[in-house]
Amino acid sequence: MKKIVWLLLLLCITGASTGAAQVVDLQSQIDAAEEGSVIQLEKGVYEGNVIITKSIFLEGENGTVMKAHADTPAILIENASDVAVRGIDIETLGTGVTVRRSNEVKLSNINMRGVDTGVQVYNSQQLLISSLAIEGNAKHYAKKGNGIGIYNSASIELFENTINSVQDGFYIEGVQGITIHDNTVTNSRYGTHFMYSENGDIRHNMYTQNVTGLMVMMTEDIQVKQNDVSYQDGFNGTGITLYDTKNTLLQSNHIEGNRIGVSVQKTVDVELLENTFHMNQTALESVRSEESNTAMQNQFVGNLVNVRSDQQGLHLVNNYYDDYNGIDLDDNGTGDEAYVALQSFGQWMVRKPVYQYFIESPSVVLLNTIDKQTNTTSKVLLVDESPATMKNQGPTTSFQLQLPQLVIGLVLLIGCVVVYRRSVRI
Amino acid sequence: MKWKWFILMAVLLLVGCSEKAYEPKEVNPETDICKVCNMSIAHEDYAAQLVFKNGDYEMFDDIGCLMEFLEGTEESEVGAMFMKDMTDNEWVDVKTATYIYSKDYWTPMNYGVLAFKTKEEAEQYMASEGDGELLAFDDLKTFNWGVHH
Repeated sequence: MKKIVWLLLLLCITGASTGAAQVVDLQSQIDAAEEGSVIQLEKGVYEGNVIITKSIFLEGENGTVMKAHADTPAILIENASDVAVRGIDIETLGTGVTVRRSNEVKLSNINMRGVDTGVQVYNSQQLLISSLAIEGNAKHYAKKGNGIGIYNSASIELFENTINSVQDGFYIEGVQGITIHDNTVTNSRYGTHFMYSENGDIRHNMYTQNVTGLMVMMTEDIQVKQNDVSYQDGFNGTGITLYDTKNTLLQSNHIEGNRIGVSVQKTVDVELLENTFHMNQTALESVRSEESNTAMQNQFVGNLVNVRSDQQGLHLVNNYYDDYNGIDLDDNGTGDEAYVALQSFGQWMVRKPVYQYFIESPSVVLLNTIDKQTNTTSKVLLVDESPATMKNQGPTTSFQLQLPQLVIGLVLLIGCVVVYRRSVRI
Repeated sequence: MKWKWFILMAVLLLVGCSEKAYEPKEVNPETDICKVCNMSIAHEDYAAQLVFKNGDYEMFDDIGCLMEFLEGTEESEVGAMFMKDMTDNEWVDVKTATYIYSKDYWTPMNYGVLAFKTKEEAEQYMASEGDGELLAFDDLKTFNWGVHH
């Protein structure tokens, strides 16, 4: 009996020792590695808070986990060139990865859950950050850090990242030359936040359920194309805010279900081209902006207020408005009368946002009716002299002759006729 | 009996003539946004606010935004202005606070101006940071607001 008890005890000890995760000291492996070498990490748990100061490729296989304390970044890349980190799940309550004064750094396929801050980059160049999944903690956005923050850096590309529940999904400050594409940011303060930067390209991103999808401030030469900016519908929810920007192009973006679709403030040379504004409370507002801003060939459908401004500051050219009542006798796709944005209540809403709650009330409907009558005589208004009368239906298919199909069709037709004639003869 | 009425009227008159005290209100990060730049007040330590004499409030995420708003506001309408003190995160009167500036001080708009209740606290902060320049409220009126780095 004693032997059996001892045997069972031995088995228990052996089982416990094999079941517990073996924690590997990664820093010593990095220190021992030669410049430019590849460190392949097998599936397992690694002790974190490592520092990389030389050229290294750190690659984990599926199930590679790094556990780190929150006092310092789980991975710090400092004064290094040509570094890549790929395929690691980082477990920390602090910052996942920090890059300082480094060049040619690639971060990809890294997962982080419950972090305060995902990635921070300072004074670095030529960075690629892709396929990161960053999930912030449950605190209010005022009490936590950003998903990916880039400071005073250049030549950056951020793509195919998924960020949820942080302060700002991407925080870009003092950056020259950045491309942000095919990312998704949800449940955060701002999807992407630009400050004091130049030359940005923002494409094919999805921003939803944030306070503001895209916030661009004091920034020059930005192109924002084909993004889906939908349902920033909280108390201060705004799809895109441009503040004190120069040379900004917003093209072919889909802007839907926001409290304010696009807010243009104190800006110069903004071009809004071929965007669709669907079901926003206010589609487009202009505040304290220059008259060099233009909205051309956009579609305004199902918004409570299409365009509003605290002064002129916005040229409307050939846009489609679903509340346009004019006719197009010559059928050239452009209305014969000008479109005039209903202004009185719109201007009040710019100055006092709480007035939004009175929209469509009987008194506001009456005011809008009076507005329509007044607008026909007044000149100081938001006017589109050439409103489009048809929505852009997308590319149409032109006629093209398909010769092989024509020949086959003719042969079949002749065959049918021959068979029919023979059958009739019989 | 008459003199009692006289005293009562005098007291009421004095109360009516006394200067109204304006109190700062706490920041609600869920709903408060900067009146000038529209940013959410996510960093309360740098927040500022203006209280109008009619009781209205405007919130700002950075002292630079408050100063910009002040340029287009009638001074006679302003009751009080407050900003968060860097030392203890309490509201201080904007007009009596001591300010320090450095291009390396981070603020939400990167204007680099911080507020302190006393000059001693401001100097202590500068000494610990090894950088900075003392400013008073009047200096802020002519300050070149913008990013300097």
